[in-house]
Amino acid sequence: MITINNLKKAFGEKVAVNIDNYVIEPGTMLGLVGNNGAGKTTLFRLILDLLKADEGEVRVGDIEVTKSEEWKQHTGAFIDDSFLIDYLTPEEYFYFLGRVFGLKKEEVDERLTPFARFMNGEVLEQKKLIRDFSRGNKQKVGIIGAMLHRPSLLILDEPFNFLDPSSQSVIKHVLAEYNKETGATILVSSHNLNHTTDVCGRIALLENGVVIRDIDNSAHTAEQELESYFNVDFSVTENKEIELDQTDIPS
Amino acid sequence: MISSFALFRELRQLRKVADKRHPMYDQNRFAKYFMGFAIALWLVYLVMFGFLFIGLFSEIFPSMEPYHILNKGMAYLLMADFLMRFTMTKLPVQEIKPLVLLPVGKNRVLRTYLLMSGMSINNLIWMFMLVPFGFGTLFKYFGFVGVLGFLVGYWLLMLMNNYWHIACRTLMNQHILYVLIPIAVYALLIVGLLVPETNYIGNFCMELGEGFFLWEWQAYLGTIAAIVLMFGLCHMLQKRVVYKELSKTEVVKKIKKVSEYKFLDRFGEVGEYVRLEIKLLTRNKVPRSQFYMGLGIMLMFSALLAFTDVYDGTFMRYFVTIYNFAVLGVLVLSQTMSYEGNYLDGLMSRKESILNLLRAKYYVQCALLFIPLVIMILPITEGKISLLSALACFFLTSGFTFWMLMQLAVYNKLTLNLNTKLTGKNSGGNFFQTMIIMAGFFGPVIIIQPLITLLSETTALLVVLCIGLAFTLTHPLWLRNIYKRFMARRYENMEGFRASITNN
Repeated sequence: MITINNLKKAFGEKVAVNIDNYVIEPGTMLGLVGNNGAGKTTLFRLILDLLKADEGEVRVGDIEVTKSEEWKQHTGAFIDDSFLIDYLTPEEYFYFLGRVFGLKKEEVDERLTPFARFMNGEVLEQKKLIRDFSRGNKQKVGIIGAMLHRPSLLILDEPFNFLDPSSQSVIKHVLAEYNKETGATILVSSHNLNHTTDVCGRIALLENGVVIRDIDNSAHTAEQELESYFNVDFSVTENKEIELDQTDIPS
Repeated sequence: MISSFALFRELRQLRKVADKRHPMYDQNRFAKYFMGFAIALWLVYLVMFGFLFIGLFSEIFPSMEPYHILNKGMAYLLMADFLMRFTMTKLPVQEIKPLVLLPVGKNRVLRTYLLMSGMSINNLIWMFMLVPFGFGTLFKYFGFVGVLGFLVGYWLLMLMNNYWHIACRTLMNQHILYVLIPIAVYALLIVGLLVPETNYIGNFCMELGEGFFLWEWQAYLGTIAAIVLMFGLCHMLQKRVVYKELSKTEVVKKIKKVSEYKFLDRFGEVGEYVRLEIKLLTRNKVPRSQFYMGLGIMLMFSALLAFTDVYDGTFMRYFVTIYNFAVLGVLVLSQTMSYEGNYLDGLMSRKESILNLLRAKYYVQCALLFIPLVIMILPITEGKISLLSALACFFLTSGFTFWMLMQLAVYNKLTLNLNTKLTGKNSGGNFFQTMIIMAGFFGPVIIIQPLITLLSETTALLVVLCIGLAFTLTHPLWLRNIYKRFMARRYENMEGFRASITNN
């Protein structure tokens, strides 16, 4: 369970995160949506103790994330390229992660098998360093790396970015399966409303660092609500244009 | 359409802002002031050279005026200027990318950038030397007008050299073998200058220089024609490579053999980070070239210590020995965490990974200390230093020096690019780092020297050995202490690493 209490983070004048109380139950698949600058990545960084909060706390289970590192053993995350050690080959990177989390080489190999379709023959045995891969394939390496030790908390920032349509579809299924099989809590942020609502049972809509809507998507009904939310300004602009057009017509 | 003048102004503004807002300077005020100080020092040197050459030339060549000598050696000056430009000249074609879709012709942008480089203040740097030299040698004979002619003439030559440099660099960017062109040109010039019987080049340069201060139109016309020619050459070459530059992609090399260093498996998690450290040092240009540089320095100092008497004094003997042991560690450990800044978020999301990383770094550096130990066999066998002093320096480095250098893990907070050379804006040095590096080299000598004065040399070395061993054996304690202090500063450091990662 993740508990967020009175969490605040500002960069100068700009409030990036301002969440009073928010609880994510174990096994939840939460989609975080919001416009650019809404605070999605900042919230993830705060949960992962990669940023110092101005106020408040985040707890993973009973542990306050800034006070202990124990929670890291059960957490997997991929936010951006700064999670990748890019002078390793993908195999070396996976084995490195595996050993750090106490997995044998054979276990790592075994755990990579379910990702075969996701990797699409473009990641393993390429004899290339990660830095020489395309953005999409780097993204794949990062996502797999985050899931390799089967974490009970998985955090992925914009996992669909840079992926080709087939891989986007595959990763959706992989995440859903993983959630079903392991009961892990999965936090995913995305600009892609379709993908997010397809896989997440709960959607948090973030604006200016505040969770302004917490939508139950168990019946897959959130997409419409989100569509209408994100289209608000557009429809207002449209109406205004119509009004302006009408004023141009001589009476 | 934007006027040529407006375009010039806009592009100049863009370049000014880019320089001013470079992330390394933005994040690191010390680097900014340090660069400013270094430039100021260089300019002072140039002024000094200006005065120095007046006396030096009159002393060595009493039958000739100093300005004749300087003019005769014009080719050397142009060569020095050519080399200096590698650090400060930007190629227009590298800056055109964001502008290529604007409704201003590519050629116009290229031409404007070329004009800008001609009007750059960099072309005036040599004036710091030429102004005192000109007033000291020409003024008494040719007055202010003569000095002015001399300065204008040399400024024009620097302009020509600027475009010649850009033309060569443009070609060299396409293929490194083009470096042979400037090498051949300057080699021919120098050979021409050194062959005394013909000395056409020396005489030509002397007459050209004389033409400048005598305001002879042929001298100026010839130089201006050369500038126009070089400008045209530059423009033509830049035009030819613009599409290549726009679609430039790095050639991806396939790895022939992936080393697994299986023997490290038995050391558990630390072994895993040792493996990572080895790969960091071997697979990235900057640490790799630092390693080779360190090795070169070690070999050079060892040979000098063994076969010459330049370092025979006690202070220098120990300084060089310490230097040899410390140099690799200083080069790598002074950047502790700055390389890891590239993937620090990933490391930080794993439990105690930084502690294991620090341990691994320490063990790798300790293992690397065997390289200087082997290299120092040379001066040992030559009887210049004793085995005891080599061992004392070995342990003083693995203990005291590394303890000091690894403190930087707590304070370094700028990400360094692993594959961009450590020059200028990627150096990321701060005041504290510079102090620690100095202490790394001089600290041990400061410990050894008074001990040798107070005690016998053998006793002093035994004391040093004990100090080194004490620091070395207590490394688990002080590494954990560094780790704790790093964790206490982690947010500040991570912010710094993150801010500098995207832009360097």
